[in-house]
Amino acid sequence: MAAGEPNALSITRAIREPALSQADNLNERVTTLYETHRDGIYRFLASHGLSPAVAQEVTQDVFMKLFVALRQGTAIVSEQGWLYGVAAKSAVDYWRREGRSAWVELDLSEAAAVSSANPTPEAEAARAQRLHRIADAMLKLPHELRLCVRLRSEGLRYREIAEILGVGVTTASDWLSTAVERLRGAAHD
Amino acid sequence: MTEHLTRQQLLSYLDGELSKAATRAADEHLHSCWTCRTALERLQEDIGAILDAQNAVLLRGVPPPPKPWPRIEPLLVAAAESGHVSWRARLSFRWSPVYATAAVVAIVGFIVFRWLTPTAVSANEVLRQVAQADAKRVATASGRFVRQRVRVTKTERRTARTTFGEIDSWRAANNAVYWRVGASDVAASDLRERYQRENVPTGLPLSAAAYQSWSRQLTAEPQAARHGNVMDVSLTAAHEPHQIDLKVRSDDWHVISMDLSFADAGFQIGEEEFAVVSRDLTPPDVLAHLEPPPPTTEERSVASASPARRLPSEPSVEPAQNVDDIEMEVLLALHQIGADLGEPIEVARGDSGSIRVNAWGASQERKNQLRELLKDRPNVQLELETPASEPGTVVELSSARAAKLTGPDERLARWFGGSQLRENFTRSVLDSGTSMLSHLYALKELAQRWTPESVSGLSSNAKNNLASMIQDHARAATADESELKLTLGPLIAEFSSKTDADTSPAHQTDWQTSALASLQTAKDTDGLMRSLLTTTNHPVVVEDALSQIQHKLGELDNSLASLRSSKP
Repeated sequence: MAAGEPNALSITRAIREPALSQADNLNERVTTLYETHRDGIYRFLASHGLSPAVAQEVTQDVFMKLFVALRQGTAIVSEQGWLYGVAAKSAVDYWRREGRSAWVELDLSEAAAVSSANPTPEAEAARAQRLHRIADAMLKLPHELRLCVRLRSEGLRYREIAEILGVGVTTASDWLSTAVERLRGAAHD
Repeated sequence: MTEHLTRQQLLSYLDGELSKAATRAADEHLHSCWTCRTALERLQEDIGAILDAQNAVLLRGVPPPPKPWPRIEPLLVAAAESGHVSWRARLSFRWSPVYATAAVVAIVGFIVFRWLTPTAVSANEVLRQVAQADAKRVATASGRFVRQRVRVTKTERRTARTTFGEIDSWRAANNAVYWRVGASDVAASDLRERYQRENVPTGLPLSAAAYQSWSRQLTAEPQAARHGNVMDVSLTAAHEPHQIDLKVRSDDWHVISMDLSFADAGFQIGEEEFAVVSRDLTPPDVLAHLEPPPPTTEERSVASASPARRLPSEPSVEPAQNVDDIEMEVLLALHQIGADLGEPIEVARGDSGSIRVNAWGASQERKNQLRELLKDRPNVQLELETPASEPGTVVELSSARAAKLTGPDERLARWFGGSQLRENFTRSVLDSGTSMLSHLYALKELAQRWTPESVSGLSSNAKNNLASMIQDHARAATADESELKLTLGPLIAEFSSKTDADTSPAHQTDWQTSALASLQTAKDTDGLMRSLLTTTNHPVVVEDALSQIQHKLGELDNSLASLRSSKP
């Protein structure tokens, strides 16, 4: 077969994978997404308590799953939402296999070391205390509310958060609003 | 807009989540309202503080991402190639534009046909999968609640008038259920009354328990058809409702709607929302219903007798119930939550006709699940406490034995082209093998416990449960085996000297024999794969090992086919 001549494989793929055939750039597309979102996905997984090695491996696995899904012609409206959804599920699956669930529980005494641009030591101490209170309140949030805040801070839309959590958009909006109000309450205590 | 914006509206405004019209109205209001503008600015500041707290404090302890990240391109190339090797091998002739056009027409035609034409599938199989998925979905831990909100559409036959309603249903881990229906919601109230009148268990309105109960006197075999990724299942019952139609999502076996056809009206129940929520997020009125104050002894005895509080999956244990049947119910319950796949859970006969479930070594989460699952079964003893452990024996690998350990063949390393690719491949193969073995071990347990003699003493219901478990495990093992063959295909094509796997027809034997034969063959295959792909003290020649694996997979095909076609 001459180079560049269409074969059955390319024709089959053209039918099954329109996104691929249009620009023949699926690898490039996934690679670009990988470079853009891998740190965010990794941090998200690590904040669920996965060790660096496991978080790195699961991050790659999440992108491989995206590649397979796109290659199979799965319609994905928001790739970012899809990636975080799969990452959240992978984290839950991981801890289910391990027989427990975990978020990273941190020593908040480190909060005092938070650097800032406040002009006076008093203002800096007050800010550090405020962040400490918010962080403490965040650790006390129910898992769903905390996940809402994490996902929103990664830039996900309400609809994407709702899909990941398996609830309606209104519920996701309610939860996020409730979480923000609780954290604000802690900030102004 | 004259009223002040709520906090939620302000947050949605900041997040760009309001509709265009609502955003315009909010803009106008904010332009003229000091209070809301100030509230918006404060909210924005507070969100900044929340982000700072998250990034500077909470995520501070999270280990940084790797630098540099490993490249993903080689994995993508490998994944793309491994999925297309067999196509290339088959397509050895040259392509002309005529062939290409014909292929396009044929493939498009097939896809259109496939998606537009309903495909017949086994309704019983769909219902079994749905029941199994449903059992897993609603199995919650204490302190968490399942919420299902459904839309109810009622159409009166005589007037063709349609009314709409909503049921907000909640279910606790202890099976307590609460349906929240608006006082003026005629459609939902009517449906609830029909559930109660027909003694349909008031679990969730769209649940395996509900449709099994509605369809308990079928007059004909249920029919199923696939439309894209939705399965339609039709059931015809002897009494009202005469027709029940389910729509099931095929990717997760979730029932998304149910139509009930009564003589005077038809109801469509469509799921709007399904979630498992924590206690914190459960409204107080719901909690009041789901967690009432502890009843008196008298109240408890009345409550336990109420059929509305029981789900069909729970056994209604009668004094004269066969102990074999009780055991089968326990086995099925464990099977439905996936607790029969090699976990340290043992089911055995206890004292005076009871069944003992020992789960000393199970995870805490599993123990909680078992506690909930088995707590209302009077003839079942659940053992969760760990006895004082005896000191274990430390097995050390002798240096002589360690010296024999051998790594994978160098040619394999070259074929994979990189250690990461080889590791991924090995993990994938061993995962499939392990999953297949877990199902075959579960089958072995069933086969050894339920010999042909003991099966003959079971009730027909218990036999059906046994058949259902056998089929589930056989299908799951077959799926794992298929994945294994697909993954190993390129390696076998490269190195194996054999050209064909064993394709001789399956011998018809009883399911117990087929189960044990399948397990033995799978164990042999697993051993060969581990010798080939991992560091081992049983070195093998690549060609020989792959030929044997190919042969063993052929044998497995046969014994699994025999299992799938057999009945207890």
